[in-house]
Amino acid sequence: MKKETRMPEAKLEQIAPYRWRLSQDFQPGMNVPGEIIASESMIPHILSDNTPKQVANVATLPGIVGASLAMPDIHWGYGFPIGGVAAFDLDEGIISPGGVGYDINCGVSLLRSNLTSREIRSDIPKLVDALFNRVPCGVGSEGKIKLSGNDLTRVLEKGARWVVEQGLADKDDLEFIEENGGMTDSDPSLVSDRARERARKQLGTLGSGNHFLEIQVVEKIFQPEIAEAFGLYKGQVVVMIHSGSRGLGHQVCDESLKVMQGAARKYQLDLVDRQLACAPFKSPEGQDYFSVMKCAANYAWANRLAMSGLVRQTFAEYYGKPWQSLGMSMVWDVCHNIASVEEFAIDSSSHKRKLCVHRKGATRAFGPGDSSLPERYRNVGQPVLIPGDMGRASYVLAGTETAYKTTFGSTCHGAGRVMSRKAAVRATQKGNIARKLAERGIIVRSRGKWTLNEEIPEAYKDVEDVVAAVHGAGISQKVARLKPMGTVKG
Amino acid sequence: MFHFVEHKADLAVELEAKDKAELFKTALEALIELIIEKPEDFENTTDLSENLRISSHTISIAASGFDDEERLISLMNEFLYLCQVKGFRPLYINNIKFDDKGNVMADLSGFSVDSDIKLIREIKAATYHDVKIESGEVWRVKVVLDV
Repeated sequence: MKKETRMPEAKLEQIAPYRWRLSQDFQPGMNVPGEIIASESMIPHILSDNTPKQVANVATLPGIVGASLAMPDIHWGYGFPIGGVAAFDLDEGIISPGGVGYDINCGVSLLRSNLTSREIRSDIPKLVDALFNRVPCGVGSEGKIKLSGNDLTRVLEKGARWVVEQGLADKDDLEFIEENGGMTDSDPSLVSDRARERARKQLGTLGSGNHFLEIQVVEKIFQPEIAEAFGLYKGQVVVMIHSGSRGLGHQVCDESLKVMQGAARKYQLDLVDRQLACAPFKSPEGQDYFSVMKCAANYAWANRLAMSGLVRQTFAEYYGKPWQSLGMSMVWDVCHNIASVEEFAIDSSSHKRKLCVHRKGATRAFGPGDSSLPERYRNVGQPVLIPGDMGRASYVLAGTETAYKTTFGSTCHGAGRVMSRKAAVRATQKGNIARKLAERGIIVRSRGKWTLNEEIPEAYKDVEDVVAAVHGAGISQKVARLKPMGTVKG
Repeated sequence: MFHFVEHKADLAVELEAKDKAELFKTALEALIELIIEKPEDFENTTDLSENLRISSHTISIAASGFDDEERLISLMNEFLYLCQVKGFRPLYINNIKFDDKGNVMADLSGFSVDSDIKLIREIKAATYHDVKIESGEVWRVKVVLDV
């Protein structure tokens, strides 16, 4: 049964459970319709946030195919909405730094262990302190790894592989990182001196804002067979890391956006918002951006893997055992701010086309059978890591064939904010956040003066609702729910 | 004059001034307000403020662009780079100048990273999102910041 929700500015038509169509006549110049994945109860909030307008803006870009997509954690962002997915034809379409965002390859990695929450619950305060002291975090934090110019070049080329070559991680980790932790054909010579300067002291650092490092327990298993393939079981302790390319990514995006302002004029691209600035994918400006974006993406994979190494060292020292005997191997590492060339069939055609897929606050969710997945996961689909907030839960999902057919192999990336940072601070000024969370059994350490206030659980949508929507839409399926035990924030 | 407008994930600043130079100056003053923790009683103590001004040093930054919007965003991002990467802690915007080649220059007074003046927030960038400068008797613009 079709339902319609009318608001002053947007009309969404339900075309399937959890799938809502924004008509192509919503705004002049739309080349494709919009489509939002959401539950019915989420729709009023999405409409009030003006995000359909941003979905429509993206639909006006040249060469977009299928639909301008939004995931259920969609919220207002500059240019492209956060939670947006858009795919562009390689010949007719564009590439846009605004479609990737400033934190290029912001993403999540997950380490498993053979420890159980029962065994280590009393250790959590000391473990969190040890992680807080070992993993640099906070505004402008710098790490212990100081990269020479040549080393940085190799990081930009090789990504996570460089970290393995330095003995800071295990070569088996690479199999369980998207793109094996490094996109090919990156050209470090295109990375500016300023971007390099920002990168040299920040490898292996968490940063600030919503980035975190968290000890979690697998609280519930939904799909035992898939969980087994992912090496997850109830009661198991895991560690999640959420971070990105740090100042390097910000600098690359900022510089590229300025180049794209000129490119948009040069190629006479009629933009409804200057933050959508872009260039034809195959133009020199487009290819240069794609190359430097890959450099920043590679740096981010190296960054998260270097931090994984620091986490392993911390646990190994604390328990007096090698990390290998604690079973701290990599479950998976996903990025959720990226542009990537991938092959998809459009409009039920069996013919596959190469497309430039932009995911800004959206996660790849390839299903069973995809040849790019490691053998261990090939029958069940890739792990999808969804960080929630520090008080409730995070999720491990699995990619599906439906995602491949309907959302360019994409799903949500997190909970999505419902409260501004300032509003969150106002709401919490009289309370001690760390103490309140400790009363719920969650130990939190933070570097920033207001970070905990800004990042209170109530500032985010309940990740349960977001995950229910992507599960309901069939673009990923629930595998495990993870509950926080101890969190390090920047 | 400036005031901040809250968005869920990001932050916008609405700027208002009597002319273009003051608009650009106000944009940088808004960034100071956001990212720099000034000494206690800075706002209320003229003596302290004067002493700080005397003991500070000056740095100039410049930006270029196709139009005023691009120049403004570039200048704000140049300012963020100076604070967040080079470690300068500006407290005053002394002067804004434009040349006939489309460049804008700003003189900033402040302190080095090892002073007591701290950076309290990281801003990734000033964005181009819907940026449009209105000119006339009053100059206005709204700039969205990625935090």
